[in-house]
Amino acid sequence: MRRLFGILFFLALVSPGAWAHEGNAHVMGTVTDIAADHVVVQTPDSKTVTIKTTAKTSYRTTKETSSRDALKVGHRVVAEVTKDATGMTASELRFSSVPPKPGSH
Amino acid sequence: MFSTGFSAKEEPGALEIMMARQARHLAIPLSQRSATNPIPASPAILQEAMQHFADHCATCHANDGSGKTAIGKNVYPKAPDLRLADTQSLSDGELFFVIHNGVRFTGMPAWGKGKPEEDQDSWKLVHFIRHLPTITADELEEMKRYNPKTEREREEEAAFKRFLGGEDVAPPAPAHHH
Repeated sequence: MRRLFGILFFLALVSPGAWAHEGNAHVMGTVTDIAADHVVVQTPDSKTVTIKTTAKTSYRTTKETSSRDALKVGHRVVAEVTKDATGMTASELRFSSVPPKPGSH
Repeated sequence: MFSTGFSAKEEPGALEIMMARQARHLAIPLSQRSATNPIPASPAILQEAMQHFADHCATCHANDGSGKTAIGKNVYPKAPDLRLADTQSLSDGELFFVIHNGVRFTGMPAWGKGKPEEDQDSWKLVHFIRHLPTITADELEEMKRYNPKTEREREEEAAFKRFLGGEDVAPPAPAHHH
């Protein structure tokens, strides 16, 4: 048994390598455009961000599971995204049609 | 090999997978493999185990058991997809043994304390692992409440809720989601 673990440990050491960085983040803003494979969001600090969507992207309102069809231009969204070299891809889009509260811009 | 170095990002080869599974199999005593779950399944037990999983296991395994987390995808070997047959085909006793004793040379720690027969929490987790292939979107959403969060992540989440509620919110300083 000890020899078997030794072999396993050696095999774990000799696999060739590859390096890449990736990470998760959130983007919040207002939807300004919706296309088949992405949404465009304007953030509160007026930056325009394009977020790719896939078949794996899930959609939620603030209370329940929803669908892509329910997402409209003008909705507020919080996107959970994965960032890689090609940009941002949404794993989840939470959205709300609540209008800005009085006093908000 | 000497030009590329070693990385935990690689997938284990077929031979290595076969040998590792055989080693894991041999590491589990026969009596433990055939052990049955002493905790009867019930909605209350499943709920308790779901919260436990979200708090203790999901950091590596993800709430849905897919293993697609920053840690789970990058340890060696990668955290398995607990919904698939490779895990679901293990006996209850084998699943319990892995949770209680961990798996050597992997990222899986031994969670059990004391005698196995007193480790009810791990047996409850076995029920939850069986439930993973049919977990619902609403259950996954509920689990997020029980995932470990830093103070900054809690502030970030509060800002998102206020924003979705119609308030003007400055973009929060991003939490470190490396």
